[in-house]
Amino acid sequence: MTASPQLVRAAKNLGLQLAVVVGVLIVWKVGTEWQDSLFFPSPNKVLAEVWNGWILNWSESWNENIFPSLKRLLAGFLLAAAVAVALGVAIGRSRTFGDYVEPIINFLRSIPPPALLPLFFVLLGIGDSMKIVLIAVGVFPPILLNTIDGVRSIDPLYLDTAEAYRITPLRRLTHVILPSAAPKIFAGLRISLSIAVILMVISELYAATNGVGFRIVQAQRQFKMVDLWAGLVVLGAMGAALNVALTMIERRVLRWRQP
Amino acid sequence: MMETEMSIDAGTSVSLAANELNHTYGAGTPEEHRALGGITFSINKGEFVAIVGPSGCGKTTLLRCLSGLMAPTSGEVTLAGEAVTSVPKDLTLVFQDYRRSLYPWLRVDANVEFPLKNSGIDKAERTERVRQALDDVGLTGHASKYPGQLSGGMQQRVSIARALAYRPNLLLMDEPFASVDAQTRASLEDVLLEVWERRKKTVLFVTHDIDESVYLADRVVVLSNAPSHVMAEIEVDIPRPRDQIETKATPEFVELRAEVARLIRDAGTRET
Amino acid sequence: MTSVLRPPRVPASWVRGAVGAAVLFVALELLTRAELVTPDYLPPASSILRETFDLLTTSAFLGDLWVTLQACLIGLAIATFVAVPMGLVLGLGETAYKATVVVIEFLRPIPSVALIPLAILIYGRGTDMKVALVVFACVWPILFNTIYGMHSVDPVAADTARAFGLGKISVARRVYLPSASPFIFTGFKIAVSVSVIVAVSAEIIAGGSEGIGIVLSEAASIGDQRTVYAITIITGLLGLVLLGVLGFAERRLFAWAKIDGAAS
Repeated sequence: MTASPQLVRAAKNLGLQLAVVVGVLIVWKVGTEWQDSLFFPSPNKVLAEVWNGWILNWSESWNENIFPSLKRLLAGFLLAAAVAVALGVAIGRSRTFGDYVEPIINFLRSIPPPALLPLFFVLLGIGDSMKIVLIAVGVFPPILLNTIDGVRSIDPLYLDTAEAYRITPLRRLTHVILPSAAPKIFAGLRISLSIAVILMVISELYAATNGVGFRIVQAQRQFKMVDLWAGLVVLGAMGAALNVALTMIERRVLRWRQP
Repeated sequence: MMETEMSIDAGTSVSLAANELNHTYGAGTPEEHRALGGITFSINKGEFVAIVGPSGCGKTTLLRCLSGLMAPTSGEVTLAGEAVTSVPKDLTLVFQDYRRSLYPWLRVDANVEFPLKNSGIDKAERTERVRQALDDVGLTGHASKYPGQLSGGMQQRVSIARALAYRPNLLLMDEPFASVDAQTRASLEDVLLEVWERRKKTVLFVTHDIDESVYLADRVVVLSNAPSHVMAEIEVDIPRPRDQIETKATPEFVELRAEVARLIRDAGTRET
Repeated sequence: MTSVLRPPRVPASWVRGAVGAAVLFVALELLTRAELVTPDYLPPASSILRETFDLLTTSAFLGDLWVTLQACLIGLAIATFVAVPMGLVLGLGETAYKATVVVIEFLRPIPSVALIPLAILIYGRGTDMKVALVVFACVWPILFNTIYGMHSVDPVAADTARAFGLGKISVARRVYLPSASPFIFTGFKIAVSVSVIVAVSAEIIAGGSEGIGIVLSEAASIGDQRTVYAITIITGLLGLVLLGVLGFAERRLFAWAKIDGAAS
């Protein structure tokens, strides 16, 4: 039995990509061996540190670093999402409300959240609330704007159908407006997830007592390069895992979409 | 049933009446367009009435006004004698563009069940109505699919099933078979007729297809160009049940069809 | 129920926007003057505005602003010189793109701010550190938009050029590059916003001696909330102004693309 042409092509692709990854790793390894740079430790040292420092003492890594970071990120993200979607629906449905409020939102959107770090630190201290509020503030505008866009671009015929069948306003919201705007809302959630990760890290770099970002900055203060790189690898893995989770949720919620 | 709910069980024979309906879009702006120019006619309970007219004559506008989705610039729509100001309980409108009127995020059975959920009917009866409606339109095995997985003709059938499950006494249909191929259209026409006769509904059917209008209806209302008014009302007294091939070969059919076609062609060339 | 259209008597949307902003301003002003919110947290809006204006006319602050901008501009320049050629090559070569996509997708989610500690160790806390971070952060939007632009080139246009006997390099230069340029410009616009955020963030986290982020941190640490808010607003304005200038340039340079519907 001969393999189908698609299978062959896919295998070739995969092989090519693997070759490149291996190639990069080799270059990295060789490069560091040759230069033995202080700042770019060899990959086996970094991966060994990930294994020893993070995976082997998992309960400490989880309790002191990963869980606190995740907790703040999810709290800020979900809080902002809930408010932003609610407000976005209200603004999207009402042209007048939108006219009054949108210029303010657009202005606030252009303020980079990191600039708020010192302010929030003074106002809220070093604890979780400072980080959660910062993440929420940063994540709020993209979700809001995408929700408004999604609600505004609902096909009027969907609404007409709902009216023709005398659907109650509540059901119209939950069964027509939100599902119809869902694709654009999810687009906003994706963008916001990367922003949330950035703000989580930066708030922990600035002022924290635990978390993944905190561990990275600790390594920097102690000049432990390998630990720093290991932290970056873990951070990258966290970000990737969150993205995968969001994609899976999106696929489930939007499973009705035909490509 | 509450007294404030309009229904046509009141025993009157006239269901829906339009009186001097006028509608102008964009009044006072440069894009002003007068769609309806004084339409007056009525439908009786249990009738099947078709509305035909040249393209762009305002058929959809008329249906939207009749259904209560839109208020006409002037004139009156009454249902069993009472003015129609919003969509009445006993009426439903089947849109032409089924692609945009079915909800792609609901499965077929959920789509059909959708209008029933708040009307106080219990779950068992809702399920039964959905099953029966899908049966009526010949879609029994497809209840769990999403609209995106169905062909155009099947989607339109879901749209009709949804209207049927709702059990309105008055069904307004806006060129429901226009976007469907000829064979599917023929079978949908027969399905519609069968349901109409079996369930004793009143149907107002808008179409641009002259054959379809004569084949389906008891009476054909012919509209003029925009701003449209009723040019003629033609009784179709071809006996029922009708057959796609046999009926269309009879001299009565041919003659009625020609009469409607002539009216429309003349309307199209005249600047009303 | 949709009603008949009447000639609109409602004010234009921008008027409403202005009204909205004015209402917010007045509300904030009253809240703080009435001390419903402690002035420590939120100084009166009018004083913030005054401080913003003052700062923008002080040469010391403008000096810091220029230091930050320098880091942005140098970083942007380097990023562009690296990312555009790389994007052109990757965009043209199908195999090259497929091969590198895995590595790129792995590096991409690493937020540049996470690299601040690394950059501090390598470069210290001065301008070099900021430039390095800006380069890392800005390479991605420019690279991806360049690749996207290359992929969006109409193959018929390229074939036409080849049919006239133009060699590969000529086709790249005279068909692909102009076609992709609106997209490259979009990437550049994104990179500009990113550069401001990254530079200011780096200053806030790393400390150092010059830059508006430093002024912000110092003001925060001595409790000068007014200056903190004022600088925050200025950072926002900076982004808006830069985008506005670029948008204007874009409309002039790439008006043809909008007609085509080619660019975003």
